[in-house]
Amino acid sequence: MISQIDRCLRACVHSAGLLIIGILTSTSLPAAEQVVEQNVLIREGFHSAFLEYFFPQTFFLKINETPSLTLIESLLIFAGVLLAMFGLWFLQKPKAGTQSGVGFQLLNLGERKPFIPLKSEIQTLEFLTQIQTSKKYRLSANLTRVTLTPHQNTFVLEDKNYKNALLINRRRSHRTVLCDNDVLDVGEMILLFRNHVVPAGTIHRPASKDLQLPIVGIIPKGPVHKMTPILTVSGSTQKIPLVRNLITIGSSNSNDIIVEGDEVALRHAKIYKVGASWKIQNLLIQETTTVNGRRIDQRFLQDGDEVTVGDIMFKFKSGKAQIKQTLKSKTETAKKI
Amino acid sequence: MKSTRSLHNAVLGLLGGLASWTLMQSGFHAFDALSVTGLSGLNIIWLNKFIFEGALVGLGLGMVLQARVSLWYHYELVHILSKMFIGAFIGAILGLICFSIGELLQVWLVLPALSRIASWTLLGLLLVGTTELFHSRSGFLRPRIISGGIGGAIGGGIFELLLLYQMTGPDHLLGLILVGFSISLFVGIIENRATSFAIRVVSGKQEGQIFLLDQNRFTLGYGSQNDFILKGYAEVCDLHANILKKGKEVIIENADEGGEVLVNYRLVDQQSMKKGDVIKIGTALLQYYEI
Repeated sequence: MISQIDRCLRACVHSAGLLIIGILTSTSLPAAEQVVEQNVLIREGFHSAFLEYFFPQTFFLKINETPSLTLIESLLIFAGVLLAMFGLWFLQKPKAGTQSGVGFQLLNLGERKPFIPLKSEIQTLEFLTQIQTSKKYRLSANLTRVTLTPHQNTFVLEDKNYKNALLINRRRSHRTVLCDNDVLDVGEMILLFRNHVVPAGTIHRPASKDLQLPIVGIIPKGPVHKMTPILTVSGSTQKIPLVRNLITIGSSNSNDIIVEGDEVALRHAKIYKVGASWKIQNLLIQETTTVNGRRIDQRFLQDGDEVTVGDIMFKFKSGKAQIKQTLKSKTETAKKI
Repeated sequence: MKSTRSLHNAVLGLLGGLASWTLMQSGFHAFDALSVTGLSGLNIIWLNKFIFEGALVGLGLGMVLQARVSLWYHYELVHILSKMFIGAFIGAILGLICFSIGELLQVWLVLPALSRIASWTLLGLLLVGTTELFHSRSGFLRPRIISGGIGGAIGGGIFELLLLYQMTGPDHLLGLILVGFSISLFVGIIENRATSFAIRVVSGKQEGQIFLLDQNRFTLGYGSQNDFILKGYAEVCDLHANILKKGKEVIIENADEGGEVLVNYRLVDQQSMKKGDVIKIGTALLQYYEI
């Protein structure tokens, strides 16, 4: 904007200068006008009266009868103009692949030296605080607890704190094997991981669709007991341990498990403990909760049951079954021996 | 970035003026050669000089103005050359029309200076208008055409002033250059006023390229008819995504069912974007930001 104003001002100054020249040479102005009239409004011989009426020979630009350049010269200059155009085109060429090797690239706007090379040794992300940037960025607090470990041709990023506002590909992650074009958000700093040896997509990650489910489960404090049953969200690796005796499911924030779906009510269903087993109950008569494909009002849950709440499916896995299985396998191995 | 583009536009305008001047010079030699061969039938009206002049000026300016966007975004050579040919052809026709109208105005006893300025204005309007004809989806038609007209009028005014004080250089060189300069500068200023968002390509072949969002509607894909062309990426469709500007919101929209548009690594059909968002189209990684 400022540059435009600057340019406009300059243009004004130039035109004012032109006017001043005109005033200073005002004595010669009428003479100049005469010359212009002679030059511009020359009437030459005409082909017919009709043509003279409709197309008087007052040329716009009245180029002299003998042009100031020869044909070859003018063609050469024209070629020069074309060359200059393609020179501009060439200048606009995006400067790709100037950096090689492993490192981070700063994606924040207006950074002069955006590439940060990485040494292949175990290091923490602490070095980000020492980088000279054009603007001061707020970074996550505990960068000393985020480590980069060399792993084959690339690095493993491990976040031991997990409370950091550190996102990998815009998602919170505990441990990630980095590959080319991964985007890291460290506080306000946006970094792009560069490694041509490991192109994007070579490292298997859980599909993005799985993580799309906006399900918030109960976060257990401390380790989960072996007996605790687990709800697994279908099509995802997310596991929700049932650490309380009464758990409600619904779309409202007051629920223990918050499920945002089109057909999920604010308070949809509850799962509660009855003796040693677990029971699910539908809380609204107009909403559907199914177990193994059957619409239910209330029902005891068994290991491996498929529970759907609205349009979201869970798989119920009781803690006991796990123990039984491990016992079975132990006895089987004992028998084999 | 915006001021760089203004500069780019202005330089292109200068080059356009210079091109039309050199074309005019060589054109008059060709005209002389024609008159020597004795094809007097042609000579009478259609190759009369003012028509010639208009066509040549239009050819030079149209060639440059049409290729302006493609040059800025560094598209392929074939693409630019085809744009230049189309621009030259249409520009020549427009030049003929505008200068003839100017002559007719003189017949109707309008002041010669005024009628000349009128025809320059008309040329600016029509040149930019036809350039935009190929982007009729853009939703930014009127301001640009008007700015072209303003540029033409101011260029014409400067031309007249130079003519008055006899400072136009050899055969109106300076005047022609300034007309081209002012048309493209004004279009550039209007475009910059409308630009407050941009998309930067972050990965792959076109890395570092910045697409400035100066229209209300954009198309993105690998096809050459798109506003933003992504070449050299896998899984990009011919017409992959639309970018729409509604007030202060910029919305990205999936245009092809076969393709995927991810904003912040989430699949979207339609999504309004915010500063710093990472867009993934096929294998191309783009970043959206405000200027």
